[in-house]
Amino acid sequence: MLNFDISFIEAARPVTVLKMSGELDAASYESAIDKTADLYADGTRDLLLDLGDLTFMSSTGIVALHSMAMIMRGQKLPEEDAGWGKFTAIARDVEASSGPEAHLKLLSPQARIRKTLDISGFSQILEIFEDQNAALAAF
Amino acid sequence: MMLEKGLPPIVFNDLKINNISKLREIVQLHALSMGGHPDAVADLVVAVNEAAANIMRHGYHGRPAKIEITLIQEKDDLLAVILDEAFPFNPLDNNQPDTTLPLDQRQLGGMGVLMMRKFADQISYQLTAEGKNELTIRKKNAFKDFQKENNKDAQF
Repeated sequence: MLNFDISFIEAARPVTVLKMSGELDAASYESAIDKTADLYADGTRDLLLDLGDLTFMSSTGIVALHSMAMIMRGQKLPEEDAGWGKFTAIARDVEASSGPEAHLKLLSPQARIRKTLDISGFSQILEIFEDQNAALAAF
Repeated sequence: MMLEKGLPPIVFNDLKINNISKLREIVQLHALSMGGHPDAVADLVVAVNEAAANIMRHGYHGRPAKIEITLIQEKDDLLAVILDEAFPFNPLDNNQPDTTLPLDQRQLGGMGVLMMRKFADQISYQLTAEGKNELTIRKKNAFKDFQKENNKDAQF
């Protein structure tokens, strides 16, 4: 099960903090994507994912994070069955850009989830912070 | 393989992606009840989850799956032996994604298998005489002082 808590922070830029608690897996990943889409539709343009209470993330969670990043870029999501092809659009942009994603950042992932992010290479695409103030200042 | 200690197989009938958390919960409870170190058990559960999700997606194509998991203690190691009756398929045959390549140059698929390999110490596959897929996932030193033995700061 995956639970969400949302807060809005007025930093140098308005940032939405989406706290995801519980487990991000094949059963719950779509809800994370949908929640992000809703936030974007409501005007969120910078999103900080608080993963401090996320206790489990499978490889499907990586797919969710990618989709969430694309949403925050205002891009159309790839087809459902695109597999690793889902990563190509974001990968090309990261390759062309001077840094990681500008509109989606991560806060305080637990060690095992950090390992998954490192294994997948997503820790290079999505900035990870342990301090919320530092994360907010990075947008 | 000499079996030292284990519990009866855990049989999951009609398993679907939307209740895969139940599989994780039961495997974790059983492994902890055997005396597995919590960190080792948590790593094993990640690997088992990826294996089960793989079976459900690619073996059963979303249909209700029957998966049998046997947890075994072999000296200090914890093994999860996963049996399924889907068509013969060795998930380890797929090439691992080379994560040093830019993402748009990596092969499609393989992330789940990569995670299995990184969270477990050894994975092996065989097709049984009954035609079942048998995947064995080993977590070493799961019954010892896991953090001391495995140096949690090790690079991967």
